Order: sequence, then C-alpha cells, then structure tokens
Amino acid sequence: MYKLDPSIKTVWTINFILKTFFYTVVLFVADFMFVKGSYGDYEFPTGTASFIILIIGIIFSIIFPQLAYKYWSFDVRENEIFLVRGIFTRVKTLAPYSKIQHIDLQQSILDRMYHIAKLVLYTAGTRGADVVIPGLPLEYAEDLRDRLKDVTSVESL
Amino acid sequence: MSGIVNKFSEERSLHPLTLVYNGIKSSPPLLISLYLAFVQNDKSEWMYSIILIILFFGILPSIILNFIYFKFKITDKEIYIQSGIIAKKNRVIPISKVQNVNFSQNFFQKLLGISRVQIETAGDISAEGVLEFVSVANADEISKIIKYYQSNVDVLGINPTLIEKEHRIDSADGKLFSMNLKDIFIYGALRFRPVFLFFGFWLYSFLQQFSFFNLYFEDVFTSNMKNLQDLNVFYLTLLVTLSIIAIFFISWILDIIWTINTFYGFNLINEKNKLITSGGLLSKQTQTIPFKKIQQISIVTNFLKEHLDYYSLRFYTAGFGLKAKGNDIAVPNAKLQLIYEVIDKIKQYRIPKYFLSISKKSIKRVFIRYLVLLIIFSIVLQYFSVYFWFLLLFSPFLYYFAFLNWKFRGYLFIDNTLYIKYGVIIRKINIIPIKKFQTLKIRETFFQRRLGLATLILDTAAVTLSAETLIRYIDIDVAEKLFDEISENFNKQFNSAE
Repeated sequence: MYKLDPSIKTVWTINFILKTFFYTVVLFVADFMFVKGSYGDYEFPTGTASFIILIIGIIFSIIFPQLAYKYWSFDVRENEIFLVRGIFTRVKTLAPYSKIQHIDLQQSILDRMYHIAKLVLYTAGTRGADVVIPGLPLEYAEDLRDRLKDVTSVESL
Repeated sequence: MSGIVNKFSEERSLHPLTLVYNGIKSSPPLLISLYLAFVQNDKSEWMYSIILIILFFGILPSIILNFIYFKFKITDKEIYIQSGIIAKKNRVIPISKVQNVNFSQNFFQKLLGISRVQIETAGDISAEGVLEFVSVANADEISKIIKYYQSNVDVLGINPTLIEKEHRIDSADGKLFSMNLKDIFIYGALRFRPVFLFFGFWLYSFLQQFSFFNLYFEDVFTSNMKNLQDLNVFYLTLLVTLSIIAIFFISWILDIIWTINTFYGFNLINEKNKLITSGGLLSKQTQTIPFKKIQQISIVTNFLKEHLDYYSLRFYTAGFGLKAKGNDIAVPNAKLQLIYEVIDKIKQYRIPKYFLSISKKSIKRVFIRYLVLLIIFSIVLQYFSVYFWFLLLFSPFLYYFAFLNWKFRGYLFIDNTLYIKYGVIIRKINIIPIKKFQTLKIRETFFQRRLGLATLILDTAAVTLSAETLIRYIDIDVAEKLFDEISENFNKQFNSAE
C-alpha cells in the first residue's frame, strides 16, 4: 500500500482555512446586515456565530488533514486500483482497469505550488463512481496515467 | 421487389398528415386566442387580436415550413436527416451504429395512421434520429431496410423478400411472454398506485355536482347545518366514510382502465441480440432492450402480491436513448414459475431458494435509526404543541419492523452472479452478473464500525438509483471475504474473455 505525498496535508490545511475564512466573512456580513437584534429573548453580541465557525474551522483545519492523511492509502495492482480512505465513514474501493472510461489529471494552484496532482478515474457507474486519488507526486501521477491509458478497455459496460 | 429498398434511397419528405397532426397539436392556444378575440372581446382589448395575429402568422407557417424543409434518406451506409428553416441541421447516422429502431403512436397519431420513428444509436444521445411522422407502412419498411443493410452490408444483390421472411420468423419464434385481457385486469387491480387517488378524488368531486348518489346525505347535511345543536354525528361519519370508499373505488377503477390502456396486447419478444416489448390500446409503444446494455435483472413483488404468487420482471439498463429511464418492465405480472422460465430463456440464472442472511446486529442498528427519526419527528410535533409521548408507544412496532427488515434481507454469490434480496413492503430480488460492476466498495460508517458491520456496494452503470446493488449490514470479515471473492472471480472471468 502506498501513502499520499505528505505535502497534501499542507494543501488540505490551506484549503480548509480559506474556506473557513470565506464562511466566517459571509456569516459576519449576514449577521451584521440582516439578523442584528432579532435573536428574541437571548442577546448575543454581533458576530458570535461567525466567531464560533472560525474557531471550529481552525480546529478542523489542524486535525482533519492529519487524520485524513493517516487513513488514506492506495495500491496499484495488476488488474485494479485499490483505495482505502475515510475518518468517520471508512470506504474501500476497488476499480478494475477494464472499467475505466477516461482519466483526468487535475492540478489546482496550490497543487502546482507543491508539485502534486490529483488523478481522477471515470467509470460508467451511477452513484459517485468516479475514483479520485489526490496528492500524488506529479511525475508519479503522469506515469500512472500513461500506464493506465494502455490497460483501459473500450468495452466496459 | 427491390422497390422497397430503393424507396428511401432518394430524399423524401415526411407523411403529409404530419401537417394535420401538428396543426391539431398547436391548436389549443390558437383556439383559446380565437375565443378570446371574438367572443370575449371588448373593443378595448385589442391585445388578444394581436396575440391571435402573431399566433396565426407564426405557428402555421412554421409548421408548414418545418415540413417542407425536413428531408430524410436512407442509403446502404448512412441515414441522412436534414431539418431546420433558418438554422439548418444535417444529421448523418451510420447504419452500422444504429442500435435499434423504435416506433410509437399516440391516440391521434393512430387515428391518422402515422407513426413516430426513433432511431437509437449506441450510447451517444446527441446522435439520435427522430422522424415525426411517417405512415405506419413506411415505418415498418424503414426498420426492415435498416435491418437488411445491417445484415448484408457488403452484399450487392438486393432481395427484400429475404428480409420479410427473416423478420416474420424472428417475431414468431422469439415470443417469450404475452398477456391476455384477464392477466392485464388482474395486474391493474393489484397495482394501487397512489397517484390515482388524486385522479379519483378529482373525478369524485367532479361527479358530485350531479348529485346522483348523495342527494340524501346532502339533505341530511344541510338540515343539520341549520341546526348545529343536534348535528347528527352518525350520518356525518357515514357520509365521510362513504365518500372515502367511493374515492378509493373510483381511483382503483381508473388504475385498472389505465393499466389496460398501457399494456393491452403486451408482448415480450426475443430477437437476436435484444428484447422487444410492445403493447398499448389507445397509444402503442415499442421498447427495445439490447442484451449488452442490461446491467441488472430484478424480480419485484409486494407483500400482497407475494401471497397471490404474482411477480414482475424488470431490467435495468445502462443509459442510452432519449428516455434514459433505465428501467424497463419486461414482464408486468406473472406467476413466479413463468418468470423463472422467461429468465431461463434469456440467460441461465438459477435463482436460489435460500439466501444467506445478514448480521442480526442490524436489527439493533435499524431500530435505533428508526427511533432517532421518531424522536426527532416527535420533538418537531411537540413544538407545534401536540403530545409526543404518545408517539413513542409505537417503538415496539419499530422494533418489529426492524426485525422484518432483517428477515427479508439476504444475499448469495454463486456462478459469478450476485443475488440480493430485500424489502418488507416492496420485495425485490436483484440479479447482478459481477462482470457488470464498475467499482466495488466496502463502506463502514462510524456507527456500523462500532457494531463490526459493513456495507458492500457494487456500483453498476444502471441509470436509476433505485437499482439497489448493495448488501447492507453484514459482518466486516464476511464483507471482506466477499470483496476478495468477487474481485478474484471478476479478474478470472475478464481475463479468460480476452
């Protein structure tokens, strides 16, 4: 079983913090503009909700990437790819090469800064059946993509 | 005889009655505006006249021009369809890519003797061809010609008699299942679709204005209204009860009538690589299910039908075509033995008599889940000041339901096929050939992990989510063993096929 590139932890943390800031600002604006003074019997100072979100968000951004990294692992086998992931709900996925329709290599700005990439394997399945492996070293991901390109089959239904 | 084949090699227009049909189809707004313009019109309301003029000079020419500019031809290699007045559209469908040719007719189309032809190709929705409309005879010829070209692409000598012969033999030999009127009546009587309650209610309230059957009760009701003091509770209850019974009865009858309309003369035909269903009284429908697209087969029944030994057979297919319903009824209603026979003729699945049961711990898990839902529901009710403690009396029933849920779940993996059984009220047996799965998953949620349970998910390309291809609540080690077994068998099967 292989682990992901450790720099994915940093990417996840930054992503989480950015998201937290976004929701904090949105909530604060909403709090300030619309909800002000309409708490009924209970008086909270403006910005309580956004403050709580900020605290929870920061705690999460510290803990979540560590745990997610710990439980994420994958294996490239002879006929299939095998993933294990999940903090609360643990999922093991098996995707045979013969069922892969097409392959994407995605890189966000952060990914590019840390020289990692996300590999997405699309299948014809129905319920969220696309197999995603984030945080692979770029060279490795490109190599894997090229290797998989040869083994995927046309007749997959 | 080569006339039939050559008939479509020149550019052709649609059937002239298309004009009449499209005219009828777009007439309601025209008639309404006519009515408004001439009958209801105060002199001031000139708006209607303008709308009328726009409609009249907009719709009619567009119908005629669309008809004039629509051309199609079928050669031995391709089907050309040309349409569009201002924005021209040319569509070329290679004959070899055509999966099947479907016809449909609704009531008006049937009266006019025209038919809608839909040429479906593999997978790609954008490359579909629809001919609206050609005559029924032409539709039949088109399907024959396409079939002919597909079977003899490089043979030069054309002999259409051969096609006709072949076609006839096909449809006579391959009949797998058909329904007579009695079967359809029974099917309709057992469906109890809730939607029809709405129609029943509507018809009932419509009939009430004629007061055939409730004159007496209305009398009682009005006299009581005058004197609320001694309102006769008995008659009032009787009136309400009778109304409800009447509504149920009417919707039941409507359901039967509608079922007969949909399934009249239902046939399931086995052609070379596909199944074809057809049926319908006022509007006829033909559906094609290519074998290759079948992802899953389901035997469906409910607790009532199971007592009467009635089951239905459905196929879940990978998405294709415009309908993309992904779920086709192959046998609407039949005894279990007959269903087995049909399945046996299509592909040899031996449907097991006994299934392995899931973990008994699931009863606890499901019960807690129901209980939490009930408590949340009760608290919401409490908020609206309804006593909610009373609802908690139902919890033993929930436990019983959780027990039933466990009892009716089962699975078995033999002969490269996974059989999954589930459902308390609606009962299903899903048959999934394992070479059809796209991804295989084991999912353990937080609560499941605490009980040592897991869910095994076989994701297929069936379009609908109702194609439940998962085994819930099995022990984690069992799930893992099954996971390995399935993947091993899958690899064996796939490698031997190549």
